[in-house]
Parts: sequence; structure tokens; C-alpha cells
Amino acid sequence: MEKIVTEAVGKRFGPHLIFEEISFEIARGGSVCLWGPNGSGKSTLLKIMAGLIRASSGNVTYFAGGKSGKPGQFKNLFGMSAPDVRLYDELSPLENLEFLRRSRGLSEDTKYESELLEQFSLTEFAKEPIENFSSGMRQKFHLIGALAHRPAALLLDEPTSFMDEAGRRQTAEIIAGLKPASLLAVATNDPAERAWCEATIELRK
Amino acid sequence: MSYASKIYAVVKKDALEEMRARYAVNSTLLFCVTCLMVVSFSLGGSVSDPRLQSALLWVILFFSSMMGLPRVFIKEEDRGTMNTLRLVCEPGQVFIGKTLVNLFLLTAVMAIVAPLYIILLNVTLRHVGFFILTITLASLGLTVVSTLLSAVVAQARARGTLFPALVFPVLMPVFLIAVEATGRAFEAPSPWDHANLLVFLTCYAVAALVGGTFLFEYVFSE
Repeated sequence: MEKIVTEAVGKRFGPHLIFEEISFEIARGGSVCLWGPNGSGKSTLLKIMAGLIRASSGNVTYFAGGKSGKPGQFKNLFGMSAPDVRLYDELSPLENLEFLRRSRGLSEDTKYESELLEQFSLTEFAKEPIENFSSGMRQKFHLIGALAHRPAALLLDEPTSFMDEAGRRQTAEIIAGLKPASLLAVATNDPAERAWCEATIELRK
Repeated sequence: MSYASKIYAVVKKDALEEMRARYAVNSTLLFCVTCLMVVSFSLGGSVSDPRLQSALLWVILFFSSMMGLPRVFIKEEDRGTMNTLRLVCEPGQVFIGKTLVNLFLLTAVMAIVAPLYIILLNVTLRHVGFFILTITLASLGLTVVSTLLSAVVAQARARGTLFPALVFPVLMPVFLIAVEATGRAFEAPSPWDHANLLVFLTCYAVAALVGGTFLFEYVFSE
């Protein structure tokens, strides 16, 4: 993916204006942190960037392979991890990953999936329903779900919340490895996650 | 990978969830069996009018399906997985997959309820083929409409009461024709003279499927 362009995006919930006129661009290898207090609209902006909700004004456009369009047209090119994007509790990590892969119409890539599970220390839990996981383990698995199809863009909402120190370190290392070839947007209040990004968009309440 | 394989992913995922959590099967079957028992104990063999027998059967099937069919989307909303579907799936893939899941559920319910009803209420079933065709076609229409509307009500708060209220007017034609056709299968000397009833059920199911596939895209997005 070449870039994601956010042009004059605004969002209202009824009479409440959350934000307006937000414009920025992320090119390949670039990274942006969406920073601001609770209720400032960081997660909402990230969901608009993923095409999960509509903006009240403005546009988000993806550019990839000589084409441009709305996020929904490039579903297989980006991955998202957010508290509102949950995976299936009754299914194991392997079953969840199979569902995601098949639903995206992608061929089997179990070697990479196994590597990710290994990197996040979840290999021994690969066949257990994720309802038995701790919050930190779930968070790690949600990240794996966002990464498993080798996306060219990553949209992450507080990606290391609930994780222990080792998990935060593993995540930072994986993100650092992916950054040169990907686009990264992180919505966070955590200075450590902010440090992953080159640019910051500050949202005010 | 083919579109059929994408649909299969949705069906397999829902089947695995249902096998492990029993979101819909238990409540639907329990409701069905309870209704059957109440009707059977209170009326026994005293209902001899085929139209009345048919209407009773469809009332049980209709309200039983109202228990289970909406859960395919309600559980996704309740558990925060609807956004995952929106992120990875195409709308048509989800609609057809969920419709198939509901069709399997309703077929299982029909396969248990219909024979039990016939035995417990001492119904004379003269035309098995016509009867099976009627319940198959009516189930298809019922399932498609219920699946589409369950996606609509899943986002509402008063979904428990909203769903039957919303579904019933849309399904009224299917319900009335299914009652008529089932009555003919029970008693009429030559039900195939009324094959137009089956044609109507087929047309309704096809129209609902085509219309639903187009409309679902708007329901599926925010």
C-alpha cells in the first residue's frame, strides 16, 4: 500500500461534535500516533480509517497498486487491533486464524501464523478456546489476528494495554520489524506506544 | 480461494460456536417441545380440521424460529465480534453464510417438530411429498427474511420484542400460504391441483434472497 490520506475528517454523534477538519497522510514506512485524552475521538478516528464507521464529513482514501478507494475496498491490505474488534471466544487461536484467513479468501500460511504465536508465547495455547485466556493473552492474540495476513497497513488502538512487560517488549520489537515496509497508525495514551511513531496527531476534547 | 469457500468459513465458524455454546439450538428446541406438549395435552386428538391442525403447526414453528434465528447476529453484536466480520468479510458472504446457518437450524427444528406434531396430535398426513416441499420452501422464505431482519434488530436495544413485531408483517404472506398448503397436504384428495401455492412460496423465497443480498450491504455497514 502506498498511502492512506485522511482529508478534513469530522465526526458528530447527534449534537456532539467529537472532532472536525482532521487531515493527515501516512505513506509507506510512515507512522502516526493519534494522541489525546479519553473521549477525544482517537478510537473513533481509527474506526473511520478502517471503514468501520462513516465520517460525518471528509474522506479517508487508500492508495494501493495504482488504485485508490475507500477502506472497504482494501480489506486484505490492512490489519486492525482494537477493543471493539474482538475474536471468537469459543474458538481456539488456530480456529480463529483459519476463519480470518478463509474469510479473507487467502491461502494457507500456517508457518507464519505459528511464528507469530511463537513470538507472542502463545504456541502452547494454540488449541485452547480463547475464553480461557487472560486479558493480556487476549490482547496478544488480537494483535496476531491483525498481523496474520501480512498487512501493508496496521491500525492499532492501545495495542499493548493489559500486556505484561515481556509482551510490551515483544510487541515493540515486532512493530519495529514491520515498520519500514508498512503504514502504521496507533491510537494511544501510552508514551511508550507514542514513541513507535514519527508523527503525532493531537486530538482535543 | 472461491466465494463458496469464504461462505463456508462463516458457516463453519458459526457451527463450531453453536456446538460449543449452544446459543440457539437449546432454547429453540426447548420452546418447541414445550409448545408441542401444551398443545398435545390440551387438545390431543380433538382437532380434526386440517386447516386448524396446519395453523397450529405453523404457529409453533413460527414462534420457535423467532427464538433461535435472530441469535446469529445478536451474539455477534453482544460479543463485539460484528466489527471483525465487517473488517474481514464481504456483506454477501456474511448474509449467505448466516442464512445457511439459520436454514440448518430451522431444518433441524422442523425435522423434530413436524413428526412429533403429527404423532402427538394424531394428524393424518396424506401427501408426504407435498408436505415436505411446503415446509422446505416456507422455511427458506422464513429463514432469509429472519436473517436479514435479525441483522437490523441486533443493533437495537429492544430487540427481543422488536424482532417478532418487525418480522411478522413481512412473513405474513408466507405464513398464510404455508398454512393453506400444509392443510392441503394433510387432507386434500389432490393437493397438486394447488401447486400454485408452492410456486408462490418459491417466488417469495427467491425474491427475499435476491432482495436480501442487496439490502444486507446497507444493514451490514454502520
